[in-house]
Amino acid sequence: VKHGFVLLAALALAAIGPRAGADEPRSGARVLTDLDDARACRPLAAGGFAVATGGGLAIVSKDGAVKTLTSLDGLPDTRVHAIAGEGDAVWVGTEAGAAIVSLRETPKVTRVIPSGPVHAVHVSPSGAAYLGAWGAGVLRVASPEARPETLASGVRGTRATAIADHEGALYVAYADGPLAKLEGGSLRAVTGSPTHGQALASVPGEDGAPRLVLGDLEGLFRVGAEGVVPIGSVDARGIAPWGAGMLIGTYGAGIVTGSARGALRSLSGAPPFVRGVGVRGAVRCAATTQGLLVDRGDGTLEKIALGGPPSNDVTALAPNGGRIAVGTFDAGAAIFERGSFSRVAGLEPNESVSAIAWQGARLLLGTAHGLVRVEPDGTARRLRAQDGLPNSFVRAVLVLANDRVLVGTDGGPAIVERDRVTPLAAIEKTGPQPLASPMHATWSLAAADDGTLFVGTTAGLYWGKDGRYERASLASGELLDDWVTALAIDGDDVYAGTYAHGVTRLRFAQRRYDARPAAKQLGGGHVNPDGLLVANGRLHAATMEGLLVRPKDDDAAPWTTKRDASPGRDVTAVRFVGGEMWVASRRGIGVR
Amino acid sequence: MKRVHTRLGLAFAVLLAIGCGTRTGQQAKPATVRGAAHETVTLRSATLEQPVRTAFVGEGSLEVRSEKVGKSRLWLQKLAIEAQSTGDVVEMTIDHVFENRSDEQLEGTFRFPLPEGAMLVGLAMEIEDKLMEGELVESEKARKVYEQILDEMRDPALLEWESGQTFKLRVFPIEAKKSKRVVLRLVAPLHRSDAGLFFAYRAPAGDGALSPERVTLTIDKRPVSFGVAASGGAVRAPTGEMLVKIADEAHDAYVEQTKSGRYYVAHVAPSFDGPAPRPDKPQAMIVLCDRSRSMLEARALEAKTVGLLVDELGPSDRFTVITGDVRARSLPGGLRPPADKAAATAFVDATEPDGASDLGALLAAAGQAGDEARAKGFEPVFVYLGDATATWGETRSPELESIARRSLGGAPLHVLVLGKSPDDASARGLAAATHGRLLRPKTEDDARRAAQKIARARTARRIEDVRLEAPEGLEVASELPGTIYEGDDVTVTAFRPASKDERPGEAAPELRLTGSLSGKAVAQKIGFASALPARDVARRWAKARIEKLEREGDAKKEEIVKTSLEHGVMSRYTSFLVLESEEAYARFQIARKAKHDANGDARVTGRDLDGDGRGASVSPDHLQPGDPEVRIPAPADAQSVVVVFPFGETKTATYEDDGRGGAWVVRFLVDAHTPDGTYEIVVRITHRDGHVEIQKLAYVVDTQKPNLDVSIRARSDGRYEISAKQRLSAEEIAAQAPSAEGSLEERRRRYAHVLTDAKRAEVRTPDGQTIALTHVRLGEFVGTWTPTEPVARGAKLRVVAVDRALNENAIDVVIP
Repeated sequence: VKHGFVLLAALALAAIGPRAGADEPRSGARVLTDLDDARACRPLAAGGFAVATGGGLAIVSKDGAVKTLTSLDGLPDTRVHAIAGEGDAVWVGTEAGAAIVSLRETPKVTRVIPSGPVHAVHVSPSGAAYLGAWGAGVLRVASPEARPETLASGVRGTRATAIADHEGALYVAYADGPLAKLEGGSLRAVTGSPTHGQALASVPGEDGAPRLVLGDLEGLFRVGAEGVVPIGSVDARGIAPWGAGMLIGTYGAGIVTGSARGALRSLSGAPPFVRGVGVRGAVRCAATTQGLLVDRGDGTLEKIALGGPPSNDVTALAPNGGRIAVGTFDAGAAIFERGSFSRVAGLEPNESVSAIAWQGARLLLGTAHGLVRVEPDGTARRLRAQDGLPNSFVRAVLVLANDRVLVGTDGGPAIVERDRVTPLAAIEKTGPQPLASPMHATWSLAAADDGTLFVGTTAGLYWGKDGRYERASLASGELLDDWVTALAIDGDDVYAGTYAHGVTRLRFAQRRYDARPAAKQLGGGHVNPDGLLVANGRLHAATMEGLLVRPKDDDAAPWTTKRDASPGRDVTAVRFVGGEMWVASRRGIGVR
Repeated sequence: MKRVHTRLGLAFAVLLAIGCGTRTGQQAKPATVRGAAHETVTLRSATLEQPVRTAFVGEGSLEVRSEKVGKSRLWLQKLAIEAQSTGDVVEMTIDHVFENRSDEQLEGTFRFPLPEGAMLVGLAMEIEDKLMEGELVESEKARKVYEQILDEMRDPALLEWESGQTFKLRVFPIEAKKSKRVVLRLVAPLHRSDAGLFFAYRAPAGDGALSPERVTLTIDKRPVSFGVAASGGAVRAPTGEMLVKIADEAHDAYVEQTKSGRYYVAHVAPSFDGPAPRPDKPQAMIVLCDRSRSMLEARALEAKTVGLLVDELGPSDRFTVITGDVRARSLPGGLRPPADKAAATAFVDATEPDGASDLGALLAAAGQAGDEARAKGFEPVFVYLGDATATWGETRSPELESIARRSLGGAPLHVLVLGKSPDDASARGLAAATHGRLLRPKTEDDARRAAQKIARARTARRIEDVRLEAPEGLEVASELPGTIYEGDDVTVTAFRPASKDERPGEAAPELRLTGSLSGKAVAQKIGFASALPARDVARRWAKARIEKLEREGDAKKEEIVKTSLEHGVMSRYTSFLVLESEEAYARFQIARKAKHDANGDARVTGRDLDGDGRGASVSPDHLQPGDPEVRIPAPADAQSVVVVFPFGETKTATYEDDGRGGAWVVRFLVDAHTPDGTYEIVVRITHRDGHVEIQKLAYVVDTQKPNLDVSIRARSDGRYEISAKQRLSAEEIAAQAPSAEGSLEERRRRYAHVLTDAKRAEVRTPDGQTIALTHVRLGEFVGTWTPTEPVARGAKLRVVAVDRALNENAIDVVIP
C-alpha cells in the first residue's frame, strides 16, 4: 500500500475473463476482440469509463457492464488509440480516422471523420476538437458538426501524439519532431524540446500555477519560461493532472505520481506497460497492455477484466470439436471453449504463431521458434533447427496419416514423426535434394487423398510424392505470383492463394497429378497464409482486403467481399464451426 | 606490487641505461645507475628490461596494379597520427592520404601492420569528399554484402584479417590524379618501464619513402616532430624506436565501469625472492623445427627464427637443429658453434614443408641430442618452432607432454608457436610440462625478442606451475603461461558483471596466483583495489577473450563474433565494411552505431545519453518480407527494450538467446498498403541501472518490380545464350532514394550498387523448358538454352525476375 492506493493484484491476474470480449454489433456478427489491449481511458461524467483498445471502444458502465464498439458498429477502425470528452459524447481517434460516439442510452457512432491514424484527440475549453492525424498534422473541428480544418504548421513533425491546452495556448507533441505551440494561427516549435514526444499535459505546479509537462522517449520534461527541463527518465505515455501534481502512465515503469518539479514515485504492483491515464475528480483510470485499472474514487486501484483472445492480431484458427485453437502474431495461442479463452501452455507470452493444427487431442503450433507440440496434459515439446528442421521458423503445419506431420519452414518442408525430422527431398540424378533454399521458404501445405503433397513456397508450387515433384510458377505460366501463401484441395481442383495476385485454380483432370494442370486465374488480391477454404459450395479467401467469397463452380461469378464478417479488414483465416463462420483478422475475430 | 621508485624529472638516460642492460644481459644483481638529471635510482635486480613495445610500427601502404607500370606503391601524400593516452594504452587515429599521380583509375590493396598487442577498432574512408565510417560486421555477412555490390560498386571497402598482425583492405576505385584517404583507429599499449609510460614509434626508415615533413604526430593534443629526438620530449631507444614520455609512472591496474559491469586489467609482477640461477656450463641450444605441410606459410619466418636464436648464443655455446615431419632429421655434424649459423638456416630451408607431423618422434630425437650435449659438458636448452599440431604417431597432448618430460631430462622446452592454425592447447601443455616459455612471434621483430628471451631464460628466476584462482563471479579472459620468468610482461584482464546484489563501496576483487619458485610453493595476490579508471579496459578484456577463444578454433566462432561486435574489437571472424552512403547501410541492413543526442538538456539521468557509441546497435539482419524481425543487441539484463514503429505502434522486445549470440527481438507486420520508402524505427533501451539509450534503425519498403534488360544470342551450335541485367527504373530510385538528384542515368549509376536487388531469374522457353539463370554478379544473370525442337519465327521467351523483397516481374522477349 502506497500513498493510499491499494492494488488488487489478484484481480490483475484475471487477464482472460469469462466474457471473452464478445459483443454483438449492429451487423449481427459476434466479435471476439482483446479488450485488455488498452490504449487510453477516460472516466465518464455519468460514472463508468470509456476505454480505447486495440479491439474497439469499450464503454464500462457504472455497474460494470461492458459495451464494445468496433468497425462493425461504424467506427472507422476497430483499433482505437485515443479518447477525449467525458459527457454525453466522446471523441475517439482510431487507426482510420476519428469519430464521435454518443453515450446517451446505447453507445453509438454519430459522426465519422475518415483519415489516416488518429493518435491524439483533444477537446478544448471552447468546445473545439483537435485531432492529431498521423502523418497529416493537426485537424481542428470547431463543433461536432463542423468541417475539419488543418492547422497551419511551421514544424517538421507530422505525427501528433498528444495535444494539450496550457495557459490559453494549444500545444502539440509529435513523435517525429519538437513540441509545438499554436501561435498566430500556426504551430511553431518550442526551442530546445526533445523530438520523440508521446504525452503532454498541463498540470498544477507546487505554487498552484499550471506547468506544462511533456513525456518523450528520452524522458519527462517540464516546459516553461526556464526552457525545457528534464524531470525524469521515464517513458511517459499518458499524463493527467492529479491533486496538486500529476499521474503518469509510463511504458516500462508502470504508474508514477509526482510533481512538475520531479520527485516521481512509482505505484508498486501496477503492470509495467501503461499507455494512457485518465482523471476526473477523484476517479482515475490507467490503460495498460494488460487491461484497464480503475480507481473509482476510494483510492483503490482495481483491474477491470475485459478479456478476449490473447491478442487482436489473430493469425490462425483450428477447430476441434467444441474447441477452437486461436493463434496470434504476438501473444501465443489460446483455446476457446464454452465461451471463454484459456492460454495454450508451452508457449512464450509473446510467441508468434503462424499455423495451428490438431493431431487428435494433441495441438501442433508452427511458431517463429519451431514446431511446438502440446499434449493433452499440457506438456509441450519444441522442435527447432537444431532438432533437424530445415529452419526454426515454421509457417505451415499439415497433419498426415500414420502419425506424420508435414511442416513448412523458412528453409523448406520436412516430415516430422514424433521427434524424427526428415526434410522433404526430390530425387535427382545426384541423389535426394531437399526442397530447400532461401527462395524455397514454405508457406502453405496440402495433401491429396492419394498421398500427393502440395508445397506452396516463395518460388512457386511444388507437388508430387515419392521424391518426384513438379512445379508450377510464374515462369511456367500457371501462376501469376510465385509466392504461394495458401492451398485448398477440392476434388480435381487445387486452389493456390498467392501473396499479391489472388487465387489460381489448378485443375488436374481425374486427379492425375503426374500431368500438368489447367490453370485458371480467379483474382482476389493478397491472400493471407492458410487463407483458403472451400465450404458450402463456395471458395473463401482470407485476404488483406477482407473476406472474399465466390461460388466454386461458377467461373464467371465475381468475388463478393464480406465486409461485415470481421472487425478487421485484413482477414487472416476463416473456419466453419458448427453452424457458425469464424473469421479471424488483425483486429480480432468475427463470428456469425 | 613492487616498483622502482621514480620521480618527476627522471631523465630518459635511465631508460636508455636499462635498454643497454637488456642488450648485454650482464646485470645479474641490483645496480645503481646515474641518470642525466643526476638522480640516483635503484634498479630491480636481474630483471631484463622488456623490449620496447611500439604503438606505431609503420604506416600503411597502398599497393596498386596498373596496366602501364604493373605493381607499385601509391605515393603517401600525408600521414597524420593522433594519439590520446588513457591508462597504459593509447587510442590512435592514423589518417593516410594517398595520391594517385597517374592518369589511370586504379585498384589497390591497403595493408597495415598492427603493432603487437594493439587492437583495431575503427576504419573510415573518404568517399566523394565525405569521410564514411565503417561498421564492424560478421565476416561472412560482410563478404556477402561486399560481393553483392562488387562489380557495380564505386567505393565499398572491406578490411579483413590477412595473417598474423596484418590486415588488408581492397580499395577501388582510386581515381586518376586524385587522392584517397584511409583512416584507421586502433588502441595500442604504451611502453612500460620503471621510468614511466612511453609512446613508442618507429621512425622513418630513412629510405625517403616517408619524409617527416609529410607526417604530423600529436600525442595527448601536443604536436611532436615525427622522427626527431628531443621534440616533445622524445628520445631514441638503442633499438631505434622513438620514445615520448606520457607519464612518470606506469600504474599497475586499471578499471572501466560500463553498464554491463566492471572490467579490470592488471600487470602481473610477482615477487621473485631468492637467488637467480647461475649456470655453470655453456648451453647447447637444440632447435626443433616442424616442417610438416601445415608450416608452409610460416616457413620463411621459421628459418629466420633459427638464425635469430643462434645469434643470441655466446661464443662458448653450441647448437644443433632437428627438422621433423613424419620423421626427424638432424643437422649433420652434431653440435656446432654459433659461427655455423648459415649452415643451420640452409639446413632448415632445404627441407620443404610437407607431409604430416610426428611430434613424438621429434621430441625423442631431441632427447638423444640432449643426451649427447650433456655428455659433452653442455646444458641443453630445447626450442620448438611449429604449430604443435601432431598428426602422425602419437597425437594425444598428455602423451606428448609425457614424452617431452621423459626425453628432455628435465630441461625446458621453449615453444615458439608458428603457423596458421596452431594447436594452442598442445603448445601450452608442452611448455608448461617442461617449464619452458610459450611465445607467439608473428613478425621478425617478435621473433628477435623471443630469441632474446629464450637465450636468457636459464639465468632468469621463474615461477613454475602457475595457476590463477579467481573468485566466483569474476570472469578472467587472459590465460597465464605455465611458467612466469622474472621480467615477463604478463597482463591479466577480468570482468565482473553488474549484479543486483552489488553494494556500494564493495571491495574490489582479487585474484590469487600460485606456483612454485625454486621448488617452494608460492602464492601471491593480484588486487584491483588500486585500479585507476581508464577507457578501453573493456575492449582489452574483449581482445583477451577473443584470443583465448580463437585458440579453440572455429568451434567458438559465434562467441568470438559476439564479443567482437559487442566491444567493437575486430577479430578473425569480423571485418570492417565501408559503404558509400547511409542509404547503402540501410539497404543492406547494416546497423549504424548509435548516434546519441548531443542535446545536453536531454540527459535525463546525467549519464544516459552519452554512451560510448559502440556497445549496442540495432541490426535487422533477419529481415524478411511480410513479417520482419528486428534484433537489438542490447544487454540481456536491460530493464526493457521498447520499439516505436513509424506507423505509431509500440512493441516491447523480448530477449531471445537463439544461438546467434542472443538479442532483443521484436516482430512486426508491414501493412500491404504501406508506400515504398525508407522508414525509421526508434528504440528505447532502459538499462539495468536505469539509464536510457535511444537508437534508430531504418528499413526499406520496396514493392517495385525488378526490371531486366534481356539479350538473346543464337550460337552456331543451335543453342542460345541468354543474359539479363537489372536496370533500375525511375520509380524504384524515387521510392528508395527520394532525395537523389540528377538525370535518370546519373541516378542509376550512383544507386545501382545500392538498389540493385534482383536475386533470381528464370526463363520459360517455347519448348516448355524452365531454365534457372545463373546469378553471375550483382543484378546480372546468364544461361544457355538448348532447344529440343525447331524455334518458330517470332517465338518468345518469358523471363521472370525476383528481387530480395520477393517482387516479381515477367518479361516476354522475342527470340531473334
